[in-house]
Order: sequence, then C-alpha cells, then structure tokens
Amino acid sequence: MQLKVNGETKNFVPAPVNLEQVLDTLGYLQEDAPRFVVAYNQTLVNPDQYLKTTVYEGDSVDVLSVITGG
Amino acid sequence: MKALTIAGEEIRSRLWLGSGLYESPKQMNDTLNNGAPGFITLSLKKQTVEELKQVKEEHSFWEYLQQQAQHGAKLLPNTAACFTAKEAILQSQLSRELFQTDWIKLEVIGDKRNLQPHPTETIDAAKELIAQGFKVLPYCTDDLVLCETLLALGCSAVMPWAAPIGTGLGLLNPYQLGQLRKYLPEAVIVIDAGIGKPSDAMAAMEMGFDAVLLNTACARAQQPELMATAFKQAVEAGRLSYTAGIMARQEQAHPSTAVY
Repeated sequence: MQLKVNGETKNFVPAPVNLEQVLDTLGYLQEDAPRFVVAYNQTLVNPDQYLKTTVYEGDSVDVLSVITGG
Repeated sequence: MKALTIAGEEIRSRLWLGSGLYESPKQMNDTLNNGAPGFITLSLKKQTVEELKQVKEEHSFWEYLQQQAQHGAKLLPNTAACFTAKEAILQSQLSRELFQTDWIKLEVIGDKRNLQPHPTETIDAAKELIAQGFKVLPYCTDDLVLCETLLALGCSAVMPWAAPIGTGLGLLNPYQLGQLRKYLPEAVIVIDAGIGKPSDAMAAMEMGFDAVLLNTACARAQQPELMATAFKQAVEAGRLSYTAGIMARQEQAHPSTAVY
C-alpha cells in the first residue's frame, strides 16, 4: 500500500489497516518518542483514534512537532 | 505601569519575542532570559522520527522553551507557511493539541515575495478559529478596515506589520499606524514584523501601541542576548513615555530658564 507521509510517497508491506499500524511501522510510537500530533488526510486525529482510523491507498499522513519560529 | 491584559489574561511584558533563527538553543534561551518577553512564538513542522528525537534531547530548544513557559512567558504558536484559511485552521488545531493553548498567532501569507498577509483568507480563518474557541492574534497589514473587521469578528488583538517580515526596515508608514491607534483607541494593537532596532520598538510604544513582536532584530544582532536587553528597556521606556504624555511640538523657541 502506498501512503503519502509528510508529503513523500512511501510503500508499506504488509499493508497497514489503521493509523496506529502506520505510525508504529514508521517508529513514531516508540516509548521514548517525544510528543507529536498527527493529521490524517488534512484532519487532526487524536491518539485515542489511531486504532479506529482505517487507512486506504493514497491517503496522507502528516506527523508534526515543535520548531522554533517568529 | 499598567499591565497588559488580553482576553482576560495578564501578559507580563509588552515585548514579545520569536524563538527562530538563533545559532544555538542556548543563545536563544539566554536572549529570552534577558528579554523576559510576554509571549514567545514558535511553530509546527512535519518531522521524521529522527528529527523528532532531537526535539527531546537535553538542552534542546524545546526544553528551554518549556522552561521559559514555566517562568511566566506564554507560548504563542504561529501558523507560518500557511497560504489558505483551511491550512491555517488545521495548523491551529494541531498546535492547540500539541501545546495545550488556545492562543494562536494567525499568519496566512498572501504573497511569497514580501510575505504580506492575505486579508480575506485571514478573515475567513479568524472567523472559524474564534468559533472554535481560539484566542486569535492575527498578523495583518496596517489597513484600518481590515483591522476593524478582524476586531469585530472577535480577535483578541490585531498585529499589523511595521514592515515586511525580517527586513528590519522599521515603521515604514507611521501615518497609517497612527491612524490605527487614533481610530481604534480601545483595541489591543501589537506591532509585528519589520522592527529592526530598539528605537523602532520605542517609537511604536510612544505612539501608544500595546506591545511589539520581533524575532530577526534580536536573532541577527551581533550579540542577540545584549540586544534583547536593549529591546526590553526600549519597550519599557516607550510605554512610560506614552503614559507620561509627550509634550506638544512647537515651532517657536521658548526659554527653559526664566531669565528673559
């Protein structure tokens, strides 16, 4: 399954079923990972919805965290 | 000096600083310590796992920003790099979730060349964000009608530019800024962007504006930490000067010594 992650197309084998599996495969759910937020198809998804969010071919997943700025 | 209150919250200083462009997290932190700003701006970016891990390192900029927040500064996420209301609304929602704050510096860019804010997209985004409970501080131009419209929608303040972002050109149109202060006497107006030196900030404060927000002027100074102190003192002096009431200018000379 191909998904667009942070704007880049990535191939997932085996195909993930839900957003939790996508984030886990990418390493974002490691215990020591800092806090981040997720937009799935340009919509905010809270952590308690990762498992319930089914992913489909071509969907977009954006993972964002803090940067400095003016 | 009367404290600045916005949306019912007291802001500890009328100097607001950005967190970007510093050579190191320590330099940023030292600068923020000297400036003791009311708000510190920051942002969100798409990040890989590797990039995320750097955020969590000891003495990272995020560790310092959290310390700044614990010591009285408020964090103000921005919507930098958004070009539409839709993008800015999503970025605001993501920021609220990550930073646990309703404050948002609404920034919807309309032109990549001069980073001018987009007036109608800013209005559309402000309307929706206010409906969603955000405390919206929009970056805007010095257009009186635009500022009035944003305030009428319920924005907590307006933040007109002095000059394009990062230019350091200072108050390019003091007449128009003066019109804003004159016709919007009750509004909280923060001069954002284009401030180059402490005297620019002081001039804005002497005109009666409520605060100034700057980043590049400190970060690109030869000694950012020292420049933050200069800005802090300039903003305080400017506010005191405005509060004290500046004498009326006169064309005719008048002796200060009563010997004539």
